[in-house]
Amino acid sequence: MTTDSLLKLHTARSTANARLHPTWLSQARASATALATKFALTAASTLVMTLTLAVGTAHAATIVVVNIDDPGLGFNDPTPATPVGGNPGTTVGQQRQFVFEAVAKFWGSKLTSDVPIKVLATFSPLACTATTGVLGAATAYNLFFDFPNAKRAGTWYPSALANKLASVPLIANPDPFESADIISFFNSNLGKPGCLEGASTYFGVDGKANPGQIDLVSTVLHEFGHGLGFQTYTNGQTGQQLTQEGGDPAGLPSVWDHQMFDPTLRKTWDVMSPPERAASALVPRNLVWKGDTVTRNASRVLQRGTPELFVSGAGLNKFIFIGPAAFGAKLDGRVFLSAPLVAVTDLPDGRGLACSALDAKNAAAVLGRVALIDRGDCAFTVKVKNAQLAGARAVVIVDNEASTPPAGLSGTDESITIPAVRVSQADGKALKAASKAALRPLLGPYAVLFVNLGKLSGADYLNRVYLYTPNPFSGGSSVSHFDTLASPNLLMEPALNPGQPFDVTAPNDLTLELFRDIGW
Amino acid sequence: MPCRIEFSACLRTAFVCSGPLAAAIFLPPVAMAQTGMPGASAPEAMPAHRVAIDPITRQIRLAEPADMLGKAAAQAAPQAAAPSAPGQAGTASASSGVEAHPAMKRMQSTTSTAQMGAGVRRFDASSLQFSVVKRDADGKLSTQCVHGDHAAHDAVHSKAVGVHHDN
Repeated sequence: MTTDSLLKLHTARSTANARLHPTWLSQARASATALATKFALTAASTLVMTLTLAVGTAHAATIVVVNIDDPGLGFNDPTPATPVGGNPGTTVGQQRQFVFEAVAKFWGSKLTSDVPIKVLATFSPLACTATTGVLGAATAYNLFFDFPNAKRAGTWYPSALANKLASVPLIANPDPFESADIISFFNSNLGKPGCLEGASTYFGVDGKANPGQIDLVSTVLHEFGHGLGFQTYTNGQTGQQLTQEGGDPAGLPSVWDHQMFDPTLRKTWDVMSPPERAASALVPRNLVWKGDTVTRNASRVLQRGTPELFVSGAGLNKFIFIGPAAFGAKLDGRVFLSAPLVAVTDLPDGRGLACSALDAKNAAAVLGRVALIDRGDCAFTVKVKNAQLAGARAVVIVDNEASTPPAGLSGTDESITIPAVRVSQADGKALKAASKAALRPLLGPYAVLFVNLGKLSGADYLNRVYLYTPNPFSGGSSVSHFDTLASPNLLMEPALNPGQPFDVTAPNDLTLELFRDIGW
Repeated sequence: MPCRIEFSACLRTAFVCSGPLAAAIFLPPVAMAQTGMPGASAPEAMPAHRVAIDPITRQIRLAEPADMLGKAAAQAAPQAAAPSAPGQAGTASASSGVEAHPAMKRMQSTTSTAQMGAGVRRFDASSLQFSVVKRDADGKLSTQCVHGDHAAHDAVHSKAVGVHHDN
């Protein structure tokens, strides 16, 4: 094995085995140097390695976290804490700092910039109730257009990216309250009385948060992603572009908008009219990211095959959006299920919740068929398990909220062996009507549940990754995230997903690839 | 009131901030080197090198005795204009609590002037991307993203927005 291969192998293994810890890269490089000494490299190969290391370090971005909390508060909270999961802090404040530093170093190791990136950060009391609370927030603080080396004219860029491209801080004043690149607010009261009391935040950086814990690293990683540029500044609900203060009211496109492509309209967002953009933001699983880097790497990250539900008969012949379950039979290429679809009915109003064992009539109806069950009152796993015990081959859960595409089904139960999916309230209503109108189950409707191997999970046939465009519009979630269909889960989906790897690039994620497409 | 930066063995650099809005900074050594700050090449364990941000020039300089005197007073003072208590934060103003944060007021009091002919625009609380966490009846936590201060308030106070991974 040559020394160059040794170096590459060692570095690759180091980064693959430990994805977030802030010292990986330095450890990898130090080890590589030791290897070079050990194997007595020739002058030529040493030069090659030195150049390789230099390229790897010279332009790595430095992300500076500017703590704006007062003494004794937030990042300076002196409440004692026990070191956990690689976080050595012995106070709550220190542990918060460590997480932010770790995430900053991690992002910094992935990006390049000659201009330090400044993040104004605070832990403060934010809106909260006993059951819901703001966890954190972030955004780019300053936006720029028409700066030196801007790759697109008349286009808004987030501050950190604009500074990188210009190679100078575009705001010369060093006051971070003026020239910060990202602002972030996190809630210091989570878990305290009156604010999700008892909820536990995990400060470890080893990815070992318990299912019931809030994983701070994931959250900060995600929020920094938004601050670094993972969002459009165009209003997705109205379609209005962001205007320059005192400038043209028509506004300017965001750098994102040049890559958001609507295959139906055959236009990117930067050339659409406001009504077209607003309409485009409401068509689920249509709007795609057309950037080359994401598209080229999509197959390295997303699994081959998109779960699909086709319903035929009883007046229905259509594909229906589904949200797969996190439990039960995995929807992969081996699943192809075709069976009559039968609605469970266990309430006087005609709904079927299946929160307890199915009665004889329902059990007979679902035996060997696909059970249609309403969402509500109990966990998804309970409903599916009851259907399974009655002999159903699969379960379709009908959402009880008017939103499409449907989210996935959460839960864990290893005793469940049949597949389950969620459909929207509107589609579910149509399915139930068709099921109840059928004279006999064998006359339809038929559910065909299968995996379309022609598509990656979360992308279209051309490997262009879907952006999240639910209907109705969901402010903050719509457009500026990857679609929830992506599998494995991606960092920049609208909801943080348990078990998500701490990474931002292929083969684990596509965030960095998207950043490359906008100029990082 | 100025801020000071202290170097500690535990967290590379520490940060003592005084005054209601003073900034405290923790900078990794690389960043310090790039900013040319005193102590930029100091090892992590090097104790008690203190620098301050001059309240007038806003430049970082070595701390002076007067800077140190302000520390005790600042630590004794409550955080200025802190948001309301948990469960009430932002309720009255339909805000997530961010808009009322003293840092936001400080941000709003400054203007952005770009150099090299660039156009610039400052973001504000209505532009923040929020993560909101919710606990369902089973005790499970789920998160959602919402856009803007008021939407975050609405999300916290049970007006349905965003996506939930619950049951």
